[in-house]
Amino acid sequence: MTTWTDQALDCALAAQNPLPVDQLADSADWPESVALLAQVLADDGDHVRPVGLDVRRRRIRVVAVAAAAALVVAAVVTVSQRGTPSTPTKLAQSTHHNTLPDMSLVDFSTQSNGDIVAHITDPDAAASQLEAVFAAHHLDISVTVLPVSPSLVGTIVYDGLYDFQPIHAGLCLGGGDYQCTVGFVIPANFTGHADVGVGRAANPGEAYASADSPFGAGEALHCAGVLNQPVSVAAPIVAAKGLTAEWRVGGSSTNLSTAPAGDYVVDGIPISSTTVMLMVEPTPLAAPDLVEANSGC
Amino acid sequence: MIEPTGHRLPNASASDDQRFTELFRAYHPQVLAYCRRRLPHDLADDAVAETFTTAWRTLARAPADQRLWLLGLARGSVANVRRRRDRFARLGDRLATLDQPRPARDHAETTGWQGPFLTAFGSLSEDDQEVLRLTTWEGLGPADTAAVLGCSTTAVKVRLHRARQRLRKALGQAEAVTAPPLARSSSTARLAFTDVPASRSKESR
Repeated sequence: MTTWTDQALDCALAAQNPLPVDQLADSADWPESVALLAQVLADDGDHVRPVGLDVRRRRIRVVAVAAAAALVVAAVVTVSQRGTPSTPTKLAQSTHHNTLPDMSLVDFSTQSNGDIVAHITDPDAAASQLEAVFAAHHLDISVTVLPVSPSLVGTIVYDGLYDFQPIHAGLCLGGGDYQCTVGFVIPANFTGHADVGVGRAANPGEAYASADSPFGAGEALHCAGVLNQPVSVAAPIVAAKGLTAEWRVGGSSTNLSTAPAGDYVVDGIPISSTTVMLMVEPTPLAAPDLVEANSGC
Repeated sequence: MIEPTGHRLPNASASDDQRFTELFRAYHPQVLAYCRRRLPHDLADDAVAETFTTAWRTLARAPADQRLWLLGLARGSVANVRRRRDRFARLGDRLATLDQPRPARDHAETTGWQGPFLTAFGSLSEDDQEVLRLTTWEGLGPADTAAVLGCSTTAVKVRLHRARQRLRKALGQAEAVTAPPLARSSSTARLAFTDVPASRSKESR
């Protein structure tokens, strides 16, 4: 089985680009393009007049400029606080923690070739604390903590560099549709900047930034008897779980009263801890498609 | 320049025309490439025309980065063209039930996918495909991709991560039924266009 790194996937996809833009470099000079330009310029539709700004828009612009200036100041302050990326002491200061970070938040080990293996052990930790731990190991890594569905809590929901090799822990608690990333291997010679996103438990009703199948282990509808059941059977179960369902039929959302009662629930997406999107189709899933979702039931 | 009443403003017309012409000439290749990578040529040309018409009508709201703005408009135009095409296809289906001749399908639609890599990519949702295409074909970074998609940079990073995961999984399944295993650079087939109707995302916007 081929091992596909992020870089290999991107390279393979880039190679499949059916139309490199340099093949169209002179497209604006093509007769049909010249004709299109003339046609558009002659368009007398509802072209918005750009000359002048009314008072309200001017005010907005002033506020926006002031806000932008404030952001620039903040950014300058942040940059000056962060110092050079390879200076862990200064990086730690950027987190506004005067005490040493709790080093147990990230489990580090070193491989025989010098590469560093990092596992985040406490996804509920504040991003600044995690950054401080990385900084203490001379690693310039920004951390964003994001609300995710239950089975993704503690997993890496994105990492920004090809240099990092993800460490997978099999499928996310079983029943998910992809491999969970629980850590990463950092090359021994890594000196750049990276940013990673770590999943945390969402607050009640808070929209998930990333979610796994609602039918997977650890998720709201695991073993609930909803998947592959008719809408008429699934709806009361979902309601009894305290969830609001958004029914998706043929790519459009509908409510329960107009969802086909005899159609089957074939997939779903958790939106938050209180809302789930359920896809329904006229035919149920085949048995093999249910094995993963029903794991552990 | 057009006032809300539809009359041209002589004084503003020349500068606006010139500004739009420069924009058109600078970015037409990229808009055309974007549309033709996602639609058959005739439909892509419709999307290009719609993109620039929308751009002209909303020129006053053009942000500083006009390339990303135009790509965002092109994305909307491609979606509009697809919806019109799908409505037409449904009409064709209804006509077929009436024993009427069915509209001919576009060549690209009948081409299908070739090779496990393309099969795997084609099995992804439109949302997954689009974030991967913007990254690898349009060469956009997360922040620029977010500008085109109209979501946060963080959401793009999450979606990209998940899209790669799902592509990796789909490749595993595709390779499992293909012998010998796919060599990464051996596929000579190219993506004619990637028009997969299913659109669902598990990541935030």
